[in-house]
Amino acid sequence: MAKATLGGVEIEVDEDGFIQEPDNWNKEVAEDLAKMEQAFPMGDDHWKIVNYLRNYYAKYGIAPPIRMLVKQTGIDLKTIYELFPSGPAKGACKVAGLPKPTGCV
Amino acid sequence: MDGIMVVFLFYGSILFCLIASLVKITGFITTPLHLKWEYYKGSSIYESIDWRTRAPKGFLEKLSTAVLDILLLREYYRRNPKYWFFLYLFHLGIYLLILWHIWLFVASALIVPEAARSYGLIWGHGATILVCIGGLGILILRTIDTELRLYYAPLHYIKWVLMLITLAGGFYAVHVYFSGSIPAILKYVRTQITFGDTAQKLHPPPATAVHVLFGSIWLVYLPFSHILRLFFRYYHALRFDEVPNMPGGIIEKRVKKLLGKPVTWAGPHIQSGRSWRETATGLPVDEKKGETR
Amino acid sequence: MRKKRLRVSDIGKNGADRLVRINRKDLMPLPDIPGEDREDDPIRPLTDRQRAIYEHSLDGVSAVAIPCAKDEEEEKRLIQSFLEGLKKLLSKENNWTFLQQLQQTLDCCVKCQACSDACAIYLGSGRQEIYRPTFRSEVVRRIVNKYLKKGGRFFAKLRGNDIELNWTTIARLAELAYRCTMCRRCATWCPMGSDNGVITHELRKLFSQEMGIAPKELHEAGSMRQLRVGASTGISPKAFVDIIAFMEEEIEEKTGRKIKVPVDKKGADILLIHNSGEYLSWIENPAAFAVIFEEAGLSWTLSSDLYGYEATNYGVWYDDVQFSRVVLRQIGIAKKLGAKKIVIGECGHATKGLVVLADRILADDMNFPRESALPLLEDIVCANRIKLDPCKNNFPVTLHDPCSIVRLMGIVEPQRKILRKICPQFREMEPHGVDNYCCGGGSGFAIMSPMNFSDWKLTIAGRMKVKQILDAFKDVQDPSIKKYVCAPCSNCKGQLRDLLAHYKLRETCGIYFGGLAELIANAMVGLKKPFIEWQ
Repeated sequence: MAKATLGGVEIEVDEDGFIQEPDNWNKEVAEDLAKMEQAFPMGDDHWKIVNYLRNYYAKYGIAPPIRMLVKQTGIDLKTIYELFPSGPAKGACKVAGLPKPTGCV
Repeated sequence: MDGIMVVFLFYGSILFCLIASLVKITGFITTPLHLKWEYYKGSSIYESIDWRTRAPKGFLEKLSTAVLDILLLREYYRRNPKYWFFLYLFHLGIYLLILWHIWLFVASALIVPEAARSYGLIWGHGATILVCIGGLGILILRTIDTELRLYYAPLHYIKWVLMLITLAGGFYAVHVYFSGSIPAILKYVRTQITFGDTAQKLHPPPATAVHVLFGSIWLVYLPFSHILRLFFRYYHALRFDEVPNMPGGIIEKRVKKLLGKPVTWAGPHIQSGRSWRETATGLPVDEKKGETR
Repeated sequence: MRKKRLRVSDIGKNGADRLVRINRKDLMPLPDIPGEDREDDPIRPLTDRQRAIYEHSLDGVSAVAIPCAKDEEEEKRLIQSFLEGLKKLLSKENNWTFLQQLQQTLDCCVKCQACSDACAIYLGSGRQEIYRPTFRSEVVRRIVNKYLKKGGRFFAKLRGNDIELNWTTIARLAELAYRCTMCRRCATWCPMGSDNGVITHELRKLFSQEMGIAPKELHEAGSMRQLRVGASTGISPKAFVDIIAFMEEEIEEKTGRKIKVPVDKKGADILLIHNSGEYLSWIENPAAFAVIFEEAGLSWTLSSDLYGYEATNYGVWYDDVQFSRVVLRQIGIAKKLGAKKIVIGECGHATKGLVVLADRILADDMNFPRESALPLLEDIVCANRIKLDPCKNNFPVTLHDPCSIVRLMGIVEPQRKILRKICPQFREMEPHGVDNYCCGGGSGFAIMSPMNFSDWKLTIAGRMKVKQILDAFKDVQDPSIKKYVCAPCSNCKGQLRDLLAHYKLRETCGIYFGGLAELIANAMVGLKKPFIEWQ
């Protein structure tokens, strides 16, 4: 496992840069992750997506369906790709401190 | 060479070929029923709703496909016509030559040698020429074509040269030793198979003895070549295997037996030592989190 | 010839260096895409840290993240373990499941190389020797002949078994097992019935079942996760119920119809199982199925039970044991619900796995009817069981044939009959049907993207598909004309999504992708909004 300095602390990340210690996630960590994802600086829409992902994950243990994310945040998919160039799964989930999505997604 | 030796080697090689083929075939047949893993060249039974209740392709249709594939080498024609041309000549020649030898034996026993027609000679020579052109063509292509040369074992080149020598030996025996006379050949074969002339049997002329020995080498090789396997491509149902495993059927009985076989794979998620049935019914033990492979 | 041709025996040599370096210029040309003739490395190099810890000496790519062997001692142990595994692959006890096909392939290859021209990866890579379908097989064949057969070492070179078995060979072979999508186009090309795809499959099994080496996405985060939480996506029964509620909202909004999606309905005829990735990435596909099935009045249900809402079975690609475990659980759900049969949605490997492969591990009450959804959809559309208006689909559509469903199952016509009926501008790709090319995402590649592997799968494995798609739409290049690549398979869709994004085909050519059911739903009359939203 690799280590990365995020938000001033050393955090374990996997080979694709997803953090492995979800408890150490905070705003500063998110912003540093956003820098790697070309999603910096983070505006309101970035946070709206990140917060929605985190809340859903806390409740269900997975990231929500993409359609649900679009609908509940009111941000369309095209804009999500503009905000997070690697897309909702690989980009937004990473910044939100979620593990890398698995399965055929 | 001693004639006894030739007799021994020749009949021995026939016996060896038969026994080894039998052992090999038994091996193929007793290999366990495998999972279905076929491929299709067109629509199959799975295109139907409730496919298990539909009749799969008929046996005759499968057989005709197999026979045409084997006789015409259709697949080679589709993929590499140049190579197919020589391969086909070779195979056609070989089939004709084998038939010719069978004819020699049958004819020598059945007809009066003097009455034998000249078509026997044309048949034999024609077949030999086809095999020679085919074999030589293959050998040349295998040497100059970079794709066909790739991965081709040095031993196979020796095999092709041996094949050409065998053919030349046969041609020499027929054309020079027997002066191209079919009646003479038939007479000779008849004395040989009826053990009619012990003196000749013990001191065979070198021309025929060498040819017979070359034949023996091929007979010994045959069971180990891919030729025997080829027929099992269809038997193994690599293609067209649409026969479903129906409840209470023969396939199900065989499957049940196979599920009792032991699993000894060492992978950490398998826990070896139990049967397939138990292993599949069970779940992998949850490995300690964070533990790497 | 620019370079000296690589030989099979080179696989065990120069372990410190990679066997090939690929330049973009070497790849199969894509003249319609600007920049694809640049002279650069199409694959990002691994970082120094990654290079230090993972084996990458095949082509500089790491798909499997195999840790480097620490010392000679460990190398020896790994070589031994590999040989043990190889022996088990050839045993009636441990590998009755595939022994016949494996032996056939090991024995029958005559090295005519007819299969090379069949391989999308070999061609896409610009004929790199290591990706030749027979290269991998030849390595395995030589190891078996030389190291496992009696007297194999005598005259090994003369008999064509020139190979050195060392850790370098094994590490490269493990990566090489993940450079083939098992589309088995080469197998149908072979005049002898050899199947290089089965060699890939058996190699992956050897590494997983004996040595515990498998890509994380397939094993730990794949089949292991599925057996633990119910789905490889991580969807739990609780999450599934929430997602279905959302799906019903979606359906109502689009169609104007309030549908109660049947979940866990006892005694329904059909248990429909989708790839659970559909719910997360393309929920419009299961939604379309629900709309169509309800309109056609079928007796059907989904399951929210553990294992009941996930059709995937990654074991199909790398592990017979994991495969069997998942199959038994899926069948168990159908039995519990008292369904008459299992129908699998638009997912290639899952359909092949549950319908075909599983056929011979099932007995007694587990021997349960299973089938693909495509014939059922064909019946609904072509027998006019629902009212459809083809004019609603008046845009260019082409069809991608998922290998698992078409070549490997012979389900060729149903999807075409549907498209011919409801898509006036349907056109075939060339070649198509059982001769199709793989999307490059087969055998798990679509979900594997560790380190620099996604560069490899997009620039090499998927190259042929990109060319085919562009060719299919040559007459309508204008990006303002929206075009639809129909791919009735979750894996193919994942790969297509990434391909279209990588080559910017949506922006520059107006090419979109989606499933088959969406096109049917889009043609249904009386819906409030168009079903396809072109997102």
